[in-house]
Amino acid sequence: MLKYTIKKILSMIPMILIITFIIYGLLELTPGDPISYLMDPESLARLSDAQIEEMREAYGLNGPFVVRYFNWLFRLLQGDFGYSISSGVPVIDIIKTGLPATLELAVASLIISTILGSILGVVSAIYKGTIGDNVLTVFGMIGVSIPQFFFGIVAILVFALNLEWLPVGGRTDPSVTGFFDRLEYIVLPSLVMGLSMTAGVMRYARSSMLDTMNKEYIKTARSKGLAEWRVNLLHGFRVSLTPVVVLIGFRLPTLVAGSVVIETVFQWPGIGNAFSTAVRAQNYNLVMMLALIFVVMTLFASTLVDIVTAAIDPRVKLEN
Amino acid sequence: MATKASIRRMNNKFDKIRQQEEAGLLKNKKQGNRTLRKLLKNQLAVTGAIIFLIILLACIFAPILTPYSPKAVDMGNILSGPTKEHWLGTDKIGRDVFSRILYGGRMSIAIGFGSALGCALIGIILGCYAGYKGGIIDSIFVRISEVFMSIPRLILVMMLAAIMGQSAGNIVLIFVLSGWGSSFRMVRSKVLSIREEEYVQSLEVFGLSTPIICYKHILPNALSPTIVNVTLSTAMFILDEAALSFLGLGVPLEVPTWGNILNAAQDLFTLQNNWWLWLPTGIVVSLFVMSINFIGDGIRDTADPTQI
Amino acid sequence: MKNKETVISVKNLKTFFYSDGRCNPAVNGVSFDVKSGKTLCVVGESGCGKSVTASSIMQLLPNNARIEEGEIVYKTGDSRGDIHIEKLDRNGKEMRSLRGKDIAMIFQDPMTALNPVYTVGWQIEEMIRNHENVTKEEARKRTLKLLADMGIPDHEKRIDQYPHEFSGGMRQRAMIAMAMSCNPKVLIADEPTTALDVTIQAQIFELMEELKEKHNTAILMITHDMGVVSEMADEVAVMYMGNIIESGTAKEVLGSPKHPYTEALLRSIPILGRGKGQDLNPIRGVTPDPFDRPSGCQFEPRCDYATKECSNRMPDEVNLGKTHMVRCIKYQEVSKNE
Repeated sequence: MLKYTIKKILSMIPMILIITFIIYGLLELTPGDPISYLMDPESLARLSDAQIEEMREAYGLNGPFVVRYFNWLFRLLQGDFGYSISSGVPVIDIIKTGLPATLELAVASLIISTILGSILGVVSAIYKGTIGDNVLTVFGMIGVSIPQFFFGIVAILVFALNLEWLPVGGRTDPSVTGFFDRLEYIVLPSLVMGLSMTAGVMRYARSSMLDTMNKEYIKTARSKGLAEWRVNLLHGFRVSLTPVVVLIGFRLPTLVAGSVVIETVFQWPGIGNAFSTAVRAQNYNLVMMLALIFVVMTLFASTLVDIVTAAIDPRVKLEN
Repeated sequence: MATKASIRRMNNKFDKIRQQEEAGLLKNKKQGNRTLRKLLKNQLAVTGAIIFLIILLACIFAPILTPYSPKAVDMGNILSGPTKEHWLGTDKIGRDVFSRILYGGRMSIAIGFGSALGCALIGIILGCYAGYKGGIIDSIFVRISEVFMSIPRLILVMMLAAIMGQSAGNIVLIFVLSGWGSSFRMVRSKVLSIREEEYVQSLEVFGLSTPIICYKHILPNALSPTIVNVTLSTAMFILDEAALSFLGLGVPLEVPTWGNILNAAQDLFTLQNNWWLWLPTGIVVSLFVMSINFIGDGIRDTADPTQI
Repeated sequence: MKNKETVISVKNLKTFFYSDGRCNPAVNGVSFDVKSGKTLCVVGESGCGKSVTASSIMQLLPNNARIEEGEIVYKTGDSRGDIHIEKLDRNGKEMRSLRGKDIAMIFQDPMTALNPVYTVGWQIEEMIRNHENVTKEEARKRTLKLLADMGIPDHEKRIDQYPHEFSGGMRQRAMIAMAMSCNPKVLIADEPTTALDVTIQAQIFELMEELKEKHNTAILMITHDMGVVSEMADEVAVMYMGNIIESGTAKEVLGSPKHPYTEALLRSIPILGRGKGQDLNPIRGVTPDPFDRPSGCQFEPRCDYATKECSNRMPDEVNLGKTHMVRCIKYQEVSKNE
C-alpha cells in the first residue's frame, strides 16, 4: 500500500511539469511586458528605464524560453506567483485569502452531494421500477439539465430576496464572528452547489448499485439466508461504494467549475470568484496562476481518490 | 427488494400476459423493429423527443413565429411585461424577449451542436488512426489528451477565452479544443477492440492501405456510440455556453444567445422585478437540455436487454 | 444403514418467465424427489429449465419470474413438519431460515459467486453467525475446521485472504465449505464444475461424494454434462424444454434409455479410447424458440421416431417399473434398439 501510494504521488510530477510548461507558454503569449506582473507595481513605477532593464536581467527575462521557464518555475516553488496587475496585490496573497473560502464551499457541497446522492441512488436501485424510483429518476434528470447558475439565481430570488431567510451573498459580515452567524452565509451557496451535483451522483450510484445487484455473489448472499438489508447494504452497497468514491474523482472538474460559477453568483470571496473577475479584466498573470492552482488541486485530489479507492477495494491493491 | 404494492402490480401484469399467451394471442405478435418499439414504449424518451422537436422547430422557424427582430430597439416600450403584442415582454432597450429567445436558441443550439460535431470529427479522425496504428503516434495523442483532460474544462475554456477574445467562432473553437479529448478516447478504445477482429486482419492480408482500412472498414463500426455522444455533448456545450455568457465571458452581449439573455439576471433588481427577462429563457434552456438527456438515456436503456 | 428418505418433493412445478410482454413457461410441470444420502442429477441442454428448477426450490428467482403452480415440499423431519416452500414469502423470514441452514446452494462460477471485497473467512463466518447463535471466535474456529475439512492447504493463512487470491478450484472448495457450514440436509449444486479444469473437477466430485457419505446430505446436481451424470448420479432426471422427459436410477436411464432424446444425447457423446473414427450422432435441428413451442411433444420436430400423433399433445408419464418414468408414446420402439 505504501509503495502504491508513493508510486502514485511520484507519477504526478511529470504531469505537473507539462502543465506548468503549457501555462507558462500561454502566459508568454499574452500581451504585456512580463516585468509588469513579476514585480510589485508600486516599486516598478519608481524605476527608471535603465533600472527596469536591470530588473529584466535579474529576473532572467532576456534568456531563452526554457531558461525563462525554469526561472519562473523556481520562483513559483518559493511562493512567488507575481502580482495582479489590476490591484497590485501579490497573487500569493489572493490565493491565501481565497483558497480557504473556496475549499470551505467545495467540501461542504461535496459532502452534501455524496451523502444525499449515494443514499438516493441506492434506495432508487433497491426499489427499482416503483413509483418512487421513477420520480427520483425524473428529478435526477431535471437536476443534471438545469444550468447551475440558473438554479443559483432562482434560489437567491426565493430564499434571499423574497423570503429574506438568508443573505444574498458574501461570506462574512465583518461585524459578526459567531459560528452560526457565519453559517447562514454558506447555507445557500453550498446547498445550491451540493444539490446540483447530487443528481449526477444519484444517477451514477443507482446504475452502479443495479450493476452490483445483478452479480452472482448477490445470489450467493441470498442463498445464505441473509436478511434483505444485509444483502443490500453489506453485499450490494459495500461493493458499489468503490465506484461512488471514484465518482468523487470524476466530480472534481465539476466541483471546480461549480466553484467558479457559484462563487460568482453568490459573490463568495474565493479563488473561483477571483478567477472569473480576472478573466473579465484580462488580468493574465492572475488568470494563469489561479488556473494553475485549480489544476494542481484537481491533480492532487484525483491522486488521493486513487489511493483511497485502492484502500477500500482489495482487488486494486493486488493489481498494482 | 420490492414493495407489496409493486408485487401486486407485477402479479396482475403477469396474469394478463399469461392469459393472452394461453389463448394463443401472442404467438403471431408482430416482432417489427424491437429496438424502435422499445424506444417508443419509453415514455420519457418520447416526451423528450417531442419537447426537443418543438423547441428546435420554433427556433428554426423563428421569422414565421414572431414579427420582431431580436435586435430591434424600441425605446418607447422598455421593460414592458407580457402583453398581447409582446408575449414575453420587452427588455431594457425595448427588444422583444420572445423573439430573442427564438433567435438566441438558433445561436445557442448552433454553438452547442457545432462544437459537439467538431469534437466528434477530431475524435474520429485522430482516434481511429491512433487506435488502429498504435505505437508512438498513439501514445503521443493519448498523452496530449490526458493533459487536456486533466485541466478542469471550465478553467481551460475561461483561460482560452481570456487569451483569444470573445466571439461566437472563438467559443466554438475553444469548446472543441477543450472537449475533443473524451471523444478521442471513446473512438480509440472502440477501434482498439475492433482492430483485433478477423475481418481487419484479412483486409491487411489483402494489402489494403491503412487509411482505407481505418476510415472505410473500421470506422463505420465504431460510429454508433459517437452519434449518441454528439447529442449528449450538444447538451453539455449549450449549458457551458449559457454559464460562460452569464458570467459575461461568452459571445459578445449584442448577439442574442440563451446565455446572453440570462446575463440580465445578474442584476438583483431585474431578478426580483422583471421575471420575464430571465425565467422563460432559463426554463427553455433547461427543457431543451433535459429533452436531449431523456433521448440519450432512452437510447441507452433500449440497448439494455434486461429490461422488460 | 442410513435412511434414504425423501427430503424434498417437487410436484408438477411450473415456473414462468415474463419478458418483453411475453410469457415463457421455462419450467412446465416437473416432479421429482430428492432423497437424503443420494445424488439426483438433473441433466439437459442450456435453456431447458434445469437451473430455474433449482432457483425455484431456493426461491431465488429473478423478479420477472414466478412460481405458477405445483408444490415444493421440504420434509424437515423435526417439529416443523412439512414446509410448502412455494407458499412462503420470497425473501420472508421462514424462507430465509431455510436457505443456507436446511438447503444450501453452490454456483457455477466460484469466481463471481464470492463477494470480492470480503475475505473468504468473513463470508463463511457470516453464514454461520446468520443461522446459529455463536460468538465470533466460535464461528472462526468452525470456519478454520471447515476449510481444513475441504482440503484447503494452509487454511490458517487462507482464511484471511480475499477470493481473488484463491485459484478456481480452491474457490469452489471455499464455496462448498460455506454451503456445508450449517450442515444442510440438501445441497443444490448448479453446474458446480463447469468453470473448472477437468482434473480439478474430479477432485471436487470426490469431495462432494465424501460429504454425501459422511453427512447423509441429499444432493441435487444440475448439469449439462453426461460425463458428470455417469460419475455422480444415483438418480437422473432428463429435462427438455421445461419438462422432465425421462427419469429413473442412473443405471436405468443411462443403461437403457427409453426416450428418444436421452438416447440421442447418449449417442452424441464421444467415448474415450474409441479414437477418431467413431460414429458420433449429433441431434439434428435446434431447440425450438421458447415463445413458439411445438404443440405436442416438445422434442417432436427433432425426433427420429416422431409420428402424427406426437404433435397432438404432450405425452403422459409412463411408469416402467418402480423408478423408471418416461414421457414418450414411442418408448417401446426406442427400447428395441438396445
